[in-house]
Amino acid sequence: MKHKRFFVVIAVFLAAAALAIAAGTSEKGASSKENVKIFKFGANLGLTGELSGYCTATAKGTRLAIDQINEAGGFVVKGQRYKIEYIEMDNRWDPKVDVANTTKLVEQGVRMIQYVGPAGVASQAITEPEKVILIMPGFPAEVTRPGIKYTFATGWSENMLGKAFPKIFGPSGANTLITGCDKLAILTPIEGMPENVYNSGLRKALEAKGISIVFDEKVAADVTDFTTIIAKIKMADPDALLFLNFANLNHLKIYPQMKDAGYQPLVVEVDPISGGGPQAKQTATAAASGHNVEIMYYFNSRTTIPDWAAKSLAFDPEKRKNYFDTFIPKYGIEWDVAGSIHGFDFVKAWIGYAVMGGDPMNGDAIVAAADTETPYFGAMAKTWYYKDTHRFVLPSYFVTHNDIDEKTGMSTVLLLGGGRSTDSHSLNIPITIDQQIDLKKFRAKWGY
Amino acid sequence: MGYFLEFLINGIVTGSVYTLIAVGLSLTFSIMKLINFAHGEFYMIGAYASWVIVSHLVDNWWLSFFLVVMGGAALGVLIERVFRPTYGRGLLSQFTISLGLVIIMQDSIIATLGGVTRHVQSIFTTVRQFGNIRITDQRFLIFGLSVATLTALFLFFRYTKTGKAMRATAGNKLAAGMIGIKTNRMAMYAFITGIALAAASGALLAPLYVVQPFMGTRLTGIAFAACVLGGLGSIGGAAIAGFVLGIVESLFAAYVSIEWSYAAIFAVFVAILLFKPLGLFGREVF
Repeated sequence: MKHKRFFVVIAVFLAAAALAIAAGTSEKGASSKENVKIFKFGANLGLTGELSGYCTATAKGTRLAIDQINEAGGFVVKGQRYKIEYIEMDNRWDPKVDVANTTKLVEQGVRMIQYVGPAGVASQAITEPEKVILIMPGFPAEVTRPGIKYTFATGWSENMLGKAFPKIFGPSGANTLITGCDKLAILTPIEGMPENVYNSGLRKALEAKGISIVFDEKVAADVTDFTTIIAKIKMADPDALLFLNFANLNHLKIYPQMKDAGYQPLVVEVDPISGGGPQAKQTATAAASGHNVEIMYYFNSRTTIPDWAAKSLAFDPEKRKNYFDTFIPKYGIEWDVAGSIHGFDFVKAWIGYAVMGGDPMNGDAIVAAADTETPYFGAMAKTWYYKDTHRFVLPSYFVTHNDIDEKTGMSTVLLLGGGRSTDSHSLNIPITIDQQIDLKKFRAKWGY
Repeated sequence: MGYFLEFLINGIVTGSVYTLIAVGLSLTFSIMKLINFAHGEFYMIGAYASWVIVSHLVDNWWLSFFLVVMGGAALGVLIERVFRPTYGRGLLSQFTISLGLVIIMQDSIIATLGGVTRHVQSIFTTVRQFGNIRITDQRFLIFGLSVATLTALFLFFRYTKTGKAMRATAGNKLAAGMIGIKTNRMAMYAFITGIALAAASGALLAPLYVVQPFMGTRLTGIAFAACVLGGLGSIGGAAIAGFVLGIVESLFAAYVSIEWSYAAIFAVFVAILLFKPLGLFGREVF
């Protein structure tokens, strides 16, 4: 009798266990049968070639964003869960490869492409009919010409650079004002800053401030022997040099060669860190310490953003911290350049628009969401899209001293926010100037 | 005047770079009648080899240079076997093979070492001043090496038995074979020397320029221009043309436009050929 009871108890226990296991399995089975769709996100980037540093950084930021979204379970649109499949291709900065990559990505069913390449217009000829969202930098200007619907490019305020170069230069983060720069030499890579920004914004501002341009040349991005160019600049005898948006190839060599030539002018360099990748950053940093270089660049992880700047830029500090806390251990601090945070924020912003639109597979729905001009508060800053210009704009963190108030001795710091030309994302904050250097007077005094 | 001299000297130094590459290319053509469109890629391989050795193996530039030259020669032995079946079969097969080699070599580098640019630190950083002109030891080395190479090649072809045998092969391969010269071996020597020169140039120039997978493409174009301008088959002509093109590029950049200076090289090249279709030296100089 006792034995029978024992066996009955065991049998009941086993039956209960079996039922529990079956229930658990069927629950798993139910969730594994949940219909998770795949959302294909492509990248067509110049991982080899002239902009390999920037593009490689962009790829890393893009991957991080996609990994984060997938690790959080993907994104959900109207009850439907999506996971992102990331397809990355290297266009080698070759237009033929570029177009072939875009074709392959579209054929594989991607719905969005993170793009940096030499054949933007040709690539969009493939993506536009398929209503594939193309996210790209701001050049060439015609990528957002009237009639283009599914391409979204970054934009620069035309007046931005003009504001960045007043008659008075001032080193970022320091309270020294440098005046006496009336003659400017400008060196630009051929594939550099879009002509509309350079010509309309910068030139006008320089002319208005009475600065004459004594040297204005372009150089191919793959040129790395600058000895003749440096000699030519010396011949023009400028008060300062302006390097606009140099690609990573040039960066590595121009400063050492200037040093070899015994030439240490005041150099104002626009945004070398975002363009160059790790080597450019190292060179730019080394250059700043020994070569009279004023670097105007994006805030990176090592820059403390003051509260007043954060308010103006309206970025999300927690997102920023989270980005650096995850990106740097994974990819290394050397890749913490603007390309990476661009790639990261763009993915998050555009997946956000895909969710808002209600149908991520539908390009028209995504465009309709973007047209609401809802800003995305990203790791870098507030990113918002203007439907009239078809461009989404990144605030620019160029910090420069503006005109000095002779009565108070104070200078205002102009924090430039990008946007439309009439955008007023700039702040004027009084800064006390510790010292002023008039280069002209200094030179005359010492016979230079 | 001071600036003109500086531009001229810059041009001469740049020209010595072009000369080093062009001489190797001209050597392979003069003796093998082989046009190697992948010649610039051996220069690229040499630069990468130098970077790998200095960055990861032995932090000694001279040792890395020696190893790159030896490695270049060994690679030359291998690649010559690939080209051997094309001797005497015309340009098309040579072009096809060399184009394939370009793609293979560039893709191999990208696949193994990545596409991001690399940097080799120069150890010849001393700057020497002559009036207003400053020249680094690295540039002196490049100039010195190109002059030394030309001198060595001249002496080799003039006064050594092998050198004479190579010239005989270049003159008439059939006749050379008839008098007992191992013409295939002479062709191999020429090819190895050309490739070793290209690889050595890459190692020498890596600290001056940046190392990236497509760095050989621009130089291949200029090397060809120098070879044709100097007279196909004329090593000395290629050398002189290399200097001429370097000076043209420098002076054009200085006094006209930096942006168009590369195109100016080819404009001068075309202009000279219009008047001298066989190049500056239509006959052999060595």
